[in-house]
Amino acid sequence: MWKYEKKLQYPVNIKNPNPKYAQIIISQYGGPDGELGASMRYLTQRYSQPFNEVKGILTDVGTEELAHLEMICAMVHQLTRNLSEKEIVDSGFDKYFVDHTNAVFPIAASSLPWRAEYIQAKGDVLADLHEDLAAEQKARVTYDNLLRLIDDPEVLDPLRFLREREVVHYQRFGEAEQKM
Amino acid sequence: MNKAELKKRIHEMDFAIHELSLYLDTHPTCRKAMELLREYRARRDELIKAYEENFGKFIVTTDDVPTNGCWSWLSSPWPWDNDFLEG
Repeated sequence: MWKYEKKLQYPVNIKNPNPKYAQIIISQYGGPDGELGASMRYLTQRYSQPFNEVKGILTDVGTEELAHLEMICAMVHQLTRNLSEKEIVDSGFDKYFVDHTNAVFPIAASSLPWRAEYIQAKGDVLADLHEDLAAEQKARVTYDNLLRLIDDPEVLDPLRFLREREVVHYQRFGEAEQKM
Repeated sequence: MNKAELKKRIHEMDFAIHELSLYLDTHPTCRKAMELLREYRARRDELIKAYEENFGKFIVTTDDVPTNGCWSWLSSPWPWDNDFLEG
């Protein structure tokens, strides 16, 4: 089971709304290498694992990814507050707004909704861990791309934290694989 | 330390504790990591004590039952809102 802690893993406090940034950052919620897929991938793979180290790391990293999707959602929420109709239209946010208003819905930057095909569970410890190692690198590249396109320090700060976590998770999955 | 600084310090301890638990998943016999885990848990307890002496119940989970007759889980700030640490 899980227990909710009323906090973010790392603070998000963005003063200036920016729907253009929201539309690309949302990919780390509902995109192919986003945090929703990451948590579902690891938590789903746990049940067929033969080794305790792997069950442990998948449970703990999968749980941390839930905290990451909450941070991404907080960023999208804060970037889409108090928008005027003109800002909604001029930023191209109108196409999202017409379906979801300012709710946070899991889609990719390209507007494709989240799909279960973004994750895998093969029931083989080597296949699953290599899937996870690749997933962490793909998420890291997505953060690198976001860091290139954004120049608000209040947005960059939590994105840099999340990018670092991909590197740490890659390291831990690699150690789990070497233990076998 | 003011309220926001104390909250930030508690969150830093939470992060260190989490990071050590991931490390222990792949280094389950590392005594140094277990020692650090105990040390950070003790430091977190001290920070929570300092917070509660000055600012009232530190609400993180529904286990934190307030004594003032009000279910302040609902009224304490929500993490996705602006200025959460200041609240």
